[in-house]
Amino acid sequence: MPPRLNLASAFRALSLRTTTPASQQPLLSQKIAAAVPKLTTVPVARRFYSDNLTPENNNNNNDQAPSSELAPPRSEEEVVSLSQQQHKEDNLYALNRLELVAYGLKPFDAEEEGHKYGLPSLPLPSELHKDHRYDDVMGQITRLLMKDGKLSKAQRVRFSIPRRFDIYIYADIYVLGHGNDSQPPPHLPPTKTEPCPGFRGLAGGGRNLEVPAPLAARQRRRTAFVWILDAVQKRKSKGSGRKMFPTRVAEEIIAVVEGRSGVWDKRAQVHKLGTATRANLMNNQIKNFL
Amino acid sequence: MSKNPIRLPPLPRLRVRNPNKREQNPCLTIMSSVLACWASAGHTGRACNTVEDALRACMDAPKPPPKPSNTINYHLQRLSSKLIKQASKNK
Repeated sequence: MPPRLNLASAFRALSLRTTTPASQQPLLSQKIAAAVPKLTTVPVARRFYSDNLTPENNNNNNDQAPSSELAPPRSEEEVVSLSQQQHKEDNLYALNRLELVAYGLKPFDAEEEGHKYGLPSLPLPSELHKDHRYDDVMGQITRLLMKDGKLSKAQRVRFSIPRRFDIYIYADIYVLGHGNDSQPPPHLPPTKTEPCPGFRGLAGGGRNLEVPAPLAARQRRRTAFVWILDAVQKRKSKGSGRKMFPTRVAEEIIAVVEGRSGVWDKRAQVHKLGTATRANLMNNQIKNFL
Repeated sequence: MSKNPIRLPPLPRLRVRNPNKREQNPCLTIMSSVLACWASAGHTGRACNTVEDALRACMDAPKPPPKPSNTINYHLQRLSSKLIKQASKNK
C-alpha cells in the first residue's frame, strides 16, 4: 500500500509572486503625492456666490491642524516664506482682475460681483424675448407659409428664401399697401402705395351686399402675402427638391416688385369693387355691423 | 283738443332696448373719402396719397379701451318694484 503523504500535493498549495499583492500596494494618489514635490495651492479664483465669511467645512475633524496655541512657535524662515506666499496670492489676484479688464469687464463694479458677464439691463429688448425673436413681418409670413402646424418646417422654407430677398419682401408688403411701418425702398414707384380695403358680404334685404371695410396693418400684410402665395401655386415649377418652393416664392416677390405679377391686377379689381360699392356704406341695416 | 290726457299702455316691466349700441368705426368716414377720391381721380394716381396715409394711420393707431356696459337695465329692474307700487297707489 503506497504512503498517503504526498509532497507534490503540498507544493501545489504554495504560490510564488514576483510583485507585492494589490492589497499591500500604496494607492495611486499616494504614489503621485510621493512623486510630485509638494506645491502650495493658491486660491486663484473663487466659485460664484462664495465669500470669505463662512468657514470651510472640514469633514475630517480628527485630521484638523492643531490650533495656534498648541502649535510650536515658527522660526524666522517660516515667517518669511509665509509672507512671500501672501505676496504671491496678492499678485495672482491682481493678475486675475487685470485679465477681466482685458475681457472688457468691470471687475471692481459692486453690481457685477459674482456674474461673469454682468446682469442684463431690464426691460429686455423685444428681440431677446423668445416669443418676439423674429421681426413682426417675418414672423407673420412664416406662419402664413406654415402647413399642418409645422412651424419649424415653415421656418426652414422662410430661411431658404435667399437673404437678399428680405428687402423685397418688405418692399412688396409696402407696395401692396400692407404695412405703414416699413420704409419703402427708394427704387419703388410711390404711386402704388394705396391702402387695400377689404370686403364683407353682408345680407341686407334678401341680397348680398358687398361693403368695403378698412383693414389693419396685419390684415393688409396677410391679404398681400396670401395673394402672393396663390400666384406661387400657379407658377410653374422648374424642378423638385426642398429649395424649389422658396425659389418660386422669391421669383414671385421679384415679379411683384418689378410690376409683372398678376397680384397687381387682383389688387386693382379689389379697389374698383370698393369704389363701386361705396354707396353700400350708407345702408342703415349694415351701419351697425361696421 | 281733448280734455282727457293720452293714456299710455301699462308697463309690465321697465326696460330699455339695446342700451349698449355699437359705436361706428371712426375710420369709416376716412375710408369713404378715400373711395370717393379714387372714384374721381383713379386709384393709381398720387392725388389721394394724403387721404390714404390718413386711413392707414387711423387703422394702425391703438384702439381705445372698451367702454363699460350700460347699467340702465339693472337699475330699472332694481327700482321697478317701487315705481310700480307707487303708480298703483296713485291710482
